[in-house]
Amino acid sequence: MEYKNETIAIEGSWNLASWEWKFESIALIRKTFEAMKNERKLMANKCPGCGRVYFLPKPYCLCLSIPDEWVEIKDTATVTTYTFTGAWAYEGIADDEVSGTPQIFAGVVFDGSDTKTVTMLEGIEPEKVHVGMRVKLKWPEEVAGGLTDLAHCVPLEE
Amino acid sequence: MDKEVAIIAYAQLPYEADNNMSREVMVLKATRAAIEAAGLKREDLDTVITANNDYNDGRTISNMRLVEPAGSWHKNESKVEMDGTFGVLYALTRILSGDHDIALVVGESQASVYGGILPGIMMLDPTFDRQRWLLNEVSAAALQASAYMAAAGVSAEQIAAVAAKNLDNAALNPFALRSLKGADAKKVLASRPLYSPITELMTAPRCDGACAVVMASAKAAAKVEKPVWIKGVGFSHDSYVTERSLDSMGSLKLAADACYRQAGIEDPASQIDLAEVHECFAHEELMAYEALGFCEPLQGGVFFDSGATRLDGKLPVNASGGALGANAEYATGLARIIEAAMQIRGDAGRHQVKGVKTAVAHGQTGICAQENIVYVLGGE
Repeated sequence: MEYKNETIAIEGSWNLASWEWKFESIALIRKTFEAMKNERKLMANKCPGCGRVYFLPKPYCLCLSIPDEWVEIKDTATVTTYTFTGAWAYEGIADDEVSGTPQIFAGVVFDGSDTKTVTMLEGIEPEKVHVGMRVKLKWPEEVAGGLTDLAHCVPLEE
Repeated sequence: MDKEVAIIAYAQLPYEADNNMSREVMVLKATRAAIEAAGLKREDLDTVITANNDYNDGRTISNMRLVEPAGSWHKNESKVEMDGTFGVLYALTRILSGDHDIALVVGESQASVYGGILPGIMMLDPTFDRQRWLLNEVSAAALQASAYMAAAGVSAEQIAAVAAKNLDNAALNPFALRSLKGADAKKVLASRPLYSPITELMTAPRCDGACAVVMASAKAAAKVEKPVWIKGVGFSHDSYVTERSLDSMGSLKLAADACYRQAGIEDPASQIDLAEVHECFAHEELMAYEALGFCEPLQGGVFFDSGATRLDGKLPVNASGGALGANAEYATGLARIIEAAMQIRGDAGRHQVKGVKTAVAHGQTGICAQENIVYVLGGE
């Protein structure tokens, strides 16, 4: 294993913060966040070529069109898939160490959208979650206008 | 394709958690072994393709330092940043161009160096998904598994039984890293839970390893004993993980259909004798049965329960143990081609299946098998 001891560190940095990345999605998500914060609305973008509705919004479509139409979608959604994990999982995110409650991740499709959003589910036992179940976005009391506002969904009483 | 390009030799290094050598020396060993197995010299190679990943190798242009160890000094050389099965496609098209007769393809990686789940996270959408820390390759695969289970009525026990089959087969494969003789579903389910329904023994263990394949034009293969012909190839690429249905492998089906058209396969279940599938997670093997046309859609669990894909079944799948036995990324799919070729030549040793004339090999790259490639291989 001696070769590993020969590894040396050379001073320097690869400062990615100095790179000027270009993402149209930042402008798009800003519009979505503003609508969430100011109007408690979920705004998605729709492709003029194939009609796909992207949430979160996306600046390019698989049909080679640019989705540039804004549409409001609902904050109710259908669970298309899910998984749960906890501190036992290898390099998984930590659970609540006190209660040992597993965290449930779900791929949900908000009504009116065609793509999945990955959120956490609250207010339900893992074994009761099922594909096809209806859920609703849990709006924070104070909407920050960011990804954290979309962090949780709860079962929908219908 | 009818006897245009053949696999004439191959070599695998044992897959190990830490193989205690540099990446360059590892590639040199695999390259030398493959060239020697072909009865050739370095000078005979016309073109060389390596399959590796800059991020995992920790450097840009990670093939740069492989020029010497991959035998490509002063030769036509390139790389794919995908599994080695895609390197074989690259080499195939080069030979078919008529400009090259002998090609070498090497796939390699060393998980002992890069470790962890970060490489999977770096495959995610950089604007949203990397920040949110919910998706990684295991949690994404768990979402794929749950979606498939709900659609096809497959249970966690059935998925665990697939893993048990492969780990039991791996006990017969001297190159495998992880094996479990006599494994059963109970043992797999009792291994460490990761993201439901996935437990540790349902995952392909990342490790160190390299393998290499020598390919030849019909002219160059004429002098070779037991050439394995590439009869067909199909390749398809799916959309990002949150923008496609996860309950089936759509791009694998498209790849298989295209491959079978080239190979003249009309009824895969009866015309294919054996398959080597690149299952990064056990449930993907069930999904692959459907996409590869071995059974009807949503019947993967039923087909598995029939015993057809066991070592003594009518269509053994992953007689080698598959990716669950060893997963040196970028070599994993390439090893499926090698294992399929070994079976056709009758060189598979203790996991040899009798009478294999036509075999399928599958490779994948990306989160939840975003890109898929399928080969049909055959003997004389």
